[in-house]
Amino acid sequence: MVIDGKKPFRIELEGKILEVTEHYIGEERIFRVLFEDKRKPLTLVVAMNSQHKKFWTSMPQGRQEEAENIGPLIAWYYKNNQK
Amino acid sequence: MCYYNGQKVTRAEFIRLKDLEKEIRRYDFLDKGVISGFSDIPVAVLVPNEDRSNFEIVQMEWGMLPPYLQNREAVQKFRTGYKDAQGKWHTGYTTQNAKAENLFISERGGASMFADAARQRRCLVLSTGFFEWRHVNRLNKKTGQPLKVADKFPYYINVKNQDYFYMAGIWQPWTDKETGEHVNTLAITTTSANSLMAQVHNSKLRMPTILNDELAWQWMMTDLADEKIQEIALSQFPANDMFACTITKEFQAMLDPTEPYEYADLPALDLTL
Repeated sequence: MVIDGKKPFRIELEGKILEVTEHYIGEERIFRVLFEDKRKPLTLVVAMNSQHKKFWTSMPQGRQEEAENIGPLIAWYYKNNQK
Repeated sequence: MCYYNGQKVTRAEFIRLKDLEKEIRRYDFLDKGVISGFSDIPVAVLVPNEDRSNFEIVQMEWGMLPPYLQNREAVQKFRTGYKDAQGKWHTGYTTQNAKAENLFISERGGASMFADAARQRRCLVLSTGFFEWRHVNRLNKKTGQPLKVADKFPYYINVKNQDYFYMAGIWQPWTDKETGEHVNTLAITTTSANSLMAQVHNSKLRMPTILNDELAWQWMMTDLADEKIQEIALSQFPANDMFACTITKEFQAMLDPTEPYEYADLPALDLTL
């Protein structure tokens, strides 16, 4: 079951506006990114590598570069908008 | 050791990510700006669980399909119409909406295709807002008479102070006999427009059946006689509790399709009604 209780927020990357929504599938937290241009929406999650270090990744695979560019912006947004 | 997107991950993490991928593929909704009844994007729907002690959110295809349609080719013909071998044109059916007045008796006076679903399979469609077009006939500058072709202005409408609201729906399972594909297909019930929607959707004077929490619960979770089903489907959500604004005509291509947009010379809605 997907529960989405929060409104979208916007972040900027290279002068372009991205709209981000947060979702939960069970206890898994995922982020959905919509683009101004005609790119397909991007789904991001935080995963753990074998060194026990967290990393942003696209889901499904194939858009890792975007995940690594956009994920930290999402993290920065949350860090700077915590109440 | 496994790799995910080029990163070395443990097997357990790899399995977790692959499972999550599967779930995301199934529940890819609630983030689409505009869901058109003519696109293939599934709709988020609340349905009761088996004993009606709770409900769950599922995806459904918008546009109710009768079970007798054998395959997707038949679905296409049903929806868009077709010319038969004799050259005769058969008009398609639009089943995204089910008129509350015709849930049990069709417009022609026979049994309605929606009757069984209205009695057995009622659901709630989750919405953040919807779009309708207002028709405005400009006046001919020479004659002063309204032009035959109206200008159309899109509006975004939602319920005040609510992130989500409920629309009454009914659903019908459908199976493609050739491929075995199984989907649940949905129609939203509609009723006469309230005073706000009569101005916005002034060509058809209709609106979706929007339900408050109490009626939503009754609709989805309780046994109802035909008369009560129709009464709820016919109910009009109060105009004062709804909000409408004009949006750009290119809203379907916008990142935020609901962003207000002003049109010079467009008469404002009369909110005193």
